Amino acid sequence: MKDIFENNENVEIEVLPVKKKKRKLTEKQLENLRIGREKMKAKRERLKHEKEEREKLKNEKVAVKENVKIKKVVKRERKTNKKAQEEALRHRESLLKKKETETVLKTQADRLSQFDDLRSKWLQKTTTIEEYDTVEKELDNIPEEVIVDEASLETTLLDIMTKYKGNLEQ
Amino acid sequence: MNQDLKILPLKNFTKETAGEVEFHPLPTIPFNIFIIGRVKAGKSLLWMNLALNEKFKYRDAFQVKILISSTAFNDKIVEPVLDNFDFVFSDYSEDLLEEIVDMIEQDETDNKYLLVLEDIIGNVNFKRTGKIDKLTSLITRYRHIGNETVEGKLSLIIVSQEFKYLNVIARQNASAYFLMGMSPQSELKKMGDALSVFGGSDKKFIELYKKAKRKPFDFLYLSIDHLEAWQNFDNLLWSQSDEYKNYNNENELIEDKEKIEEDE
Repeated sequence: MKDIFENNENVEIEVLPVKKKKRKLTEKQLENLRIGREKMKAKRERLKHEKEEREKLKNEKVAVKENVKIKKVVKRERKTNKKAQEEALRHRESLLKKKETETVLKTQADRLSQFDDLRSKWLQKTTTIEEYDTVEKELDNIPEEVIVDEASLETTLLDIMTKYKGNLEQ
Repeated sequence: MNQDLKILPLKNFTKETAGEVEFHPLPTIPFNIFIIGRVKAGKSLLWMNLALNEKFKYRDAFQVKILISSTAFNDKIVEPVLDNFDFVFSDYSEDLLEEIVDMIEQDETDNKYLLVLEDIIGNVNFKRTGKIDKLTSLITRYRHIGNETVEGKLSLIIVSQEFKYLNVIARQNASAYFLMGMSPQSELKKMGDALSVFGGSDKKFIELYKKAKRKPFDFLYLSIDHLEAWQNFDNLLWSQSDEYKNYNNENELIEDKEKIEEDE
């Protein structure tokens, strides 16, 4: 195809600088612009300061809120701990009570056993069937609460011993 | 219909990316509000309330407020509010407007700007033919002014004594009109022609206008955003959504009537 276009490779294009029309403002307009810019600057600074103050206040509020939250947690934990401590104390008391009961029961069992031994010894020392039956009756009639109470048992036994002194002393 | 020609919304295009903030019944940000009214009609008090009264929600919505008012430094009513504006100019020029737009575009923050132009129409020379002036140009593109991430950073409140000063482009790009005080018949006629969308005809528009003016300082608020006409911010006088409802109800009635006639 025949080239129908001009070869413009060597054509230099001159780029002219863009001429910006200079604005003409009156002295008064320039002065008012300056005042306005100063006002805006002051306003910007005031707003910045206010923003910082707001931020500070916000942070303080967050800190106070956090503090309240922490206090609440501590209070809750303290309450829980107190409850746990009280429960532990109650448990200790129940253990103590259990131990005491066990000791009492053991003492009572020992005394009953000792009484049984004494009863056998005393019955063995009887010389007649009548005496045996009487002593047995006397001993069997001693209530359990007297048997487990050392002092009461001693008094009761001394009474019986006095009645059957001769034989039981042998 | 076989073809699905439903218009679909754009993906990832939200009110936030368009920089829109809704304050119904007030105009949605970004806006271009025109406050029209003769002297002593309450225009200044209205824009001051819009810009600075916290109940109107715009006070905190705009981080930078700019006032260009030829009487900024010698009007007693404006004096107390000057401190609440970041920039105050008493002499309007196109170069100043360009400087302000540059400043907004170079601002990389999300700051929203409110530019109040009060009684500067005399200095603007709104062009009706040929190359448009800088303010008209701004009115056509204010919605898209922003930085690389957000647009809609600039909203305008333009205060003018007469409706006729506004050119067609400005009128077509309004988000809202506040018609203050009582306008003469000739001005009212122009408004009726241009704003007949409210009410449905120029005659009905004038009826709305008169209905809104019951006592001194009553104003007619016309929201182009919501297509609503309000007496002050108190009474909704007309709304397009009611018109649609009425239209649908009327059609239903006609259909019912036709059905009954057919049955008979």
